[in-house]
Amino acid sequence: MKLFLSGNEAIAFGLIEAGVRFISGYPGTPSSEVLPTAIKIKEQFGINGYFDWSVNEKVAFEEATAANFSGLSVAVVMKQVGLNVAMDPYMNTAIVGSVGGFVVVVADDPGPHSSQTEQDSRFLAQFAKIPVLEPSGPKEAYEFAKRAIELSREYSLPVMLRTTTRVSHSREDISIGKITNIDIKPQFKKDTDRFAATPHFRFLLHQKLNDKLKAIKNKSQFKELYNGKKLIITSGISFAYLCDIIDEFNLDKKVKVLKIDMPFPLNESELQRYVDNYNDVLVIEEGYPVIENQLINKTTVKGRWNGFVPSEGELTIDVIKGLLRDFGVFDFKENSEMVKPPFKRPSLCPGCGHRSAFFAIRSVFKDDAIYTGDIGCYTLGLNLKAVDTVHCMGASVSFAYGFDKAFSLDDSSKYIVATIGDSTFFHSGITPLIDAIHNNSRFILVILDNTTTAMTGNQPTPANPFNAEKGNANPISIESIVRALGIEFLKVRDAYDIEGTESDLKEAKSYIDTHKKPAVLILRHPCVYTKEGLKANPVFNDVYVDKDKCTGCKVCINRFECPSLVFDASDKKVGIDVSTCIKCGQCVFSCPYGAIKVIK
Amino acid sequence: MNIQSVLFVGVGGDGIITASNIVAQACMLAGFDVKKSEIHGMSQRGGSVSASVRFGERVYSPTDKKGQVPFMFATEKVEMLRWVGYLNPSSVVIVNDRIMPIINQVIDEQKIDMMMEKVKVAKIIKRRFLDDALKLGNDKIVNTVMLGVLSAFLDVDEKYFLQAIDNVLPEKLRTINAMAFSYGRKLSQDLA
Repeated sequence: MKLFLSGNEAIAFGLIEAGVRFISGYPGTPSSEVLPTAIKIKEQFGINGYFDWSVNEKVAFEEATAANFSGLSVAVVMKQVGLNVAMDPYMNTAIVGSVGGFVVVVADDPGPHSSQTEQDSRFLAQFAKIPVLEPSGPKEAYEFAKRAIELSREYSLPVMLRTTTRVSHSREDISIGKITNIDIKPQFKKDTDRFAATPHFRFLLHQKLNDKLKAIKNKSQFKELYNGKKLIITSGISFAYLCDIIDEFNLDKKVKVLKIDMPFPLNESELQRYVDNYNDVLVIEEGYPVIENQLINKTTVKGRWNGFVPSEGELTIDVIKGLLRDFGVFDFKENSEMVKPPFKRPSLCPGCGHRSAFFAIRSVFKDDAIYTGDIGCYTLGLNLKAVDTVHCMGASVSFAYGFDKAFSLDDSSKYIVATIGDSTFFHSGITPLIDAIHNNSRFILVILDNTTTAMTGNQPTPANPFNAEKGNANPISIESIVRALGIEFLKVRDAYDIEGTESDLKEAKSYIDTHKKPAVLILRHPCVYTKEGLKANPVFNDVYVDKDKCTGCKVCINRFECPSLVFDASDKKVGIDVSTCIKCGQCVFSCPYGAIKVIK
Repeated sequence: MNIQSVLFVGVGGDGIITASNIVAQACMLAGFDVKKSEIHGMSQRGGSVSASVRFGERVYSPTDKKGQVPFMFATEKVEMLRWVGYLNPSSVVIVNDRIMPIINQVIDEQKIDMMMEKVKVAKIIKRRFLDDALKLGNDKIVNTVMLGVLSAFLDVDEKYFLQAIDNVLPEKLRTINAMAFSYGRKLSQDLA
């Protein structure tokens, strides 16, 4: 069967074909499509298996580990910063080792296109002392997924499958093997020296891990291509770019390419033998210098250590083309076509409930508060000047706590308003809220509940009554959690009720002043980017600007920031772009002159 | 044969991914090696979206090099300008004559049109394709009309495109899109 698959889809096919029947993870671009594809395969081929999102990556990792200790072949899927969240179980699983096949699928995002860091997860494979396979495209992603399971089964240790955005989100034709049902007979053989090891046994387990690595290292292989005089050592998507350039500019007689499928562990002495045989050596790898740093002697090598290869940003095909020119392989003239079209910053969708929430927050607190934000669509609250910090999942709440305690040291008591999404609250917003309640921290937490994980493609959250397979699930109530933790001030409102939110915020403000405790608002409005959300959204028959009343002050554009509000240069007044407006009428609140009107 | 490629650019919600899937499918049916890459940007409606479809005897890279893209399919004029660096003097551009508003900016359409005129390519087919789609009775088929125009420039037989439309789109959309495609294909004779 031939299918035109993305790297992520191909990984799901490879894993399931190789017998993986348990996949957990947390959505994050560019990794999010692996798990939903596994569910589609399950439905299409009628196979058994358990595939579902978890509350966060740490939990996902532990759940998969236990399933693996039951003898199942498993995979856990996340983006690179997700692995940071899962570091604790991840490091430990490496030491304890796996029972059946165990693949850690991590998608890195050099660029970055949609991440906080450009970190290279291969380094974390090295750190945990587990092998990492790095595909150069979807076809290899499919093959390496299977290889990772085989390697993991052979040596009883987790294996990392590292992709990058371009591998995850490119497509090619792939011949898929047979997908059949397998017998699953879970069993857990008790072995406390391993599964509940005390430090003494940990030492022995570490020794075992080192032995496994040594054995794998001795089997590591390099693929040789072309027969030129200059050596290029490469891996991953960089290999695909390199082949493209070599093919197009007929460089096959000029370079020799050494392609590395498994950047760790490497057979260093074998690699050094290649390096020593060439006068000119270049290392090109997407991310950090992982292969380069494993070279025994790199004094003759051009790479990141001597600044030859850029140490930040994506190694695009154009960057690599430039590197080959600098390496003296060929020459080309730079295309000098330069056009500077208007810059477009990302903005919340027209009709998004978050916009209304931020507008209300900003109206009440203006410049008088520190706004701690979080990871999700609502990061874009920064366009409405209602987000000052965005750090990592859950940090809006812990930052609010930290700012409050710092400012309270000189009694300057700053107002702090934290904003966090529903999925992110479940992921890592609850634990810092416990701290804040326990230690009487004075801030307002606004939970922006759009009833979905919107940013990554509308995966379900624990508050939904269904799971990733659209099966029944127990919805967890955010307000119940907040109340149970001990929050006394809690208001729940539709984010579209801007006036109501403003009055709640004012009340919350005086509450935290009097009680010196945190207050919570839940502003709920379903994401309008989902079919259901858009269908259920309250709409007017028309939303228009009364041109007689519009003064052209642009307050609506600057402060409400809806992409459907457009300044018309001809009459110097605001108009509404009908092609993007969803007629929610929320902008009415933003006009100080009452010029935006609705027809019911 | 050298590697051919079509760079699709537009904004979220424009149907860039579907349009590029149809072309990729048609190229595969024609027997080419095909690679495709997509950048969705952030998921918000209206954000920049792009996709590359590269095809030939053997294709290694899913992404295009600057100055080496022979064909561009742009659903919007400002987005087209954003990607001009990928074009060269022999490139052909098919662009829908429209502008998506950008928040907090006044876009001078005349200036945008002037910038487009200065771009050094072989041909820019700029047209209000939405009017064509409306004439055919459905604003949703605007991309397929444009695909019909584009198809006339590619070394891929028309029948493969029609088959690709059948393979990629849900059943109820096939007939109207096949019609839109053929309309665009005919239109290309007047525009080329």
